[in-house]
Amino acid sequence: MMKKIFVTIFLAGLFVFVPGMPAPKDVFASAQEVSIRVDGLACPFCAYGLEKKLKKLKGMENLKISINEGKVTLNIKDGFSVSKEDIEKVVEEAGFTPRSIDIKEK
Amino acid sequence: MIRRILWTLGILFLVLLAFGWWDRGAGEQYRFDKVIGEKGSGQGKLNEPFDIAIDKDGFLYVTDTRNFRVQKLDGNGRFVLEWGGRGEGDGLFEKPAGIAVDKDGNVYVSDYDNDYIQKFSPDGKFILRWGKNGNGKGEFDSPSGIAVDSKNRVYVMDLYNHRVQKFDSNGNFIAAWGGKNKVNNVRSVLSFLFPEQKPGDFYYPGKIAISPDDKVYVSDSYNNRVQVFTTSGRYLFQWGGMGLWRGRFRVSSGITIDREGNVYVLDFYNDRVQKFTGDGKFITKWGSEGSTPGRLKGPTGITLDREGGVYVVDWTNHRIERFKALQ
Repeated sequence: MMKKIFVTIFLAGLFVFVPGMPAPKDVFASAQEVSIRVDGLACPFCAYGLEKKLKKLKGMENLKISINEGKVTLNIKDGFSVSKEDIEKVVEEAGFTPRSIDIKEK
Repeated sequence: MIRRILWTLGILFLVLLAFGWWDRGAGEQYRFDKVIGEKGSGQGKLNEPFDIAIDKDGFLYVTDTRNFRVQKLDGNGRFVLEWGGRGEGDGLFEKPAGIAVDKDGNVYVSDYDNDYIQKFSPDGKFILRWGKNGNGKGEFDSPSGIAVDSKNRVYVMDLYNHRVQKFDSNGNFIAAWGGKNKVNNVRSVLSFLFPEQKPGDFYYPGKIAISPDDKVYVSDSYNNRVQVFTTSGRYLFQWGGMGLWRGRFRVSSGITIDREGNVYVLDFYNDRVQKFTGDGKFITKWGSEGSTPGRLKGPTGITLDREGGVYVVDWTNHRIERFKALQ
């Protein structure tokens, strides 16, 4: 029984600490603040569409859309991360061309 | 030289005058009558209302989108009841969008984020729900406008799939048509030269209405036009095109049809209502941008009562406005 437990712990350790093996993605990522500017963000058909697609980003919270400014802000929680490419893909999927994407580590 | 300039200015003035005369609303005129609702979350208040429908008794049903609910109001805007709540599941909404009432008074509501349609009794009791995210039969990617024909068949604008889907009143799939295809902006402006562009295809089509003789009118929003089909999806004709003047749109949004078959189309960025005959001939227009009573800012939903009242959902102003025809 003890032997089994040691083998399991050993294998788990190997999985986590073997050099070159990637750690589980994003576990150590810190929170991010994302600010996106897009053109043509004035009608509900488009604003709601963009909101819906952005809500699917993992770790997304505090999504705010300012229609007048054509600006979207959101936060990504600790332990998750997004890249500009991820955001770009989502914005384009929603039918927009991103004008600027700004990602800050918190 | 100065004489020449004066002549040119004079001619320009006359041209503009003639254009203004031609572009005016024709004989029929509508006057502002009443504001219903204001921004808020209490009973009778609204937060980004998106669509409106009316039943045979004159009760109004409004998708109060940011309050995650449907409100039922009487014809003067007095609160009757509400239902909904935020979430995913029977009776819940994440983003209630389109709304329609069938002959029996049942209410259909599309949910833009949850990708389903829900059917309720006139007093808001949940009856059934269908749909999920996807692009297969009976699946949606942001269902928006919704309409019911004389046989209680339900038509849904499947916005991000750029198509119409047709169901029976129990949500069983019958047919789908359309496809993504943008009309070039220059061709759209010059639609009097290119009248039949990309027939049967759509580009982010938002709303839909059924005429008394069961023709399907689609507000093909980002192609700035209306397209008309049979109930089986056969293309018939289209009108519109991008522009500021009469008969043109800058994002066609809500659409409804009166008992005579006249079509009322909301023009989102031009902040106005336009009225056409059933075959697309311009009758009149009214509305201008603003937040004071009688003005509009991004209208999205429209319905008519039996007394000739026109109810317009004024999305950005978080209210409904009623207009009446001048006798």
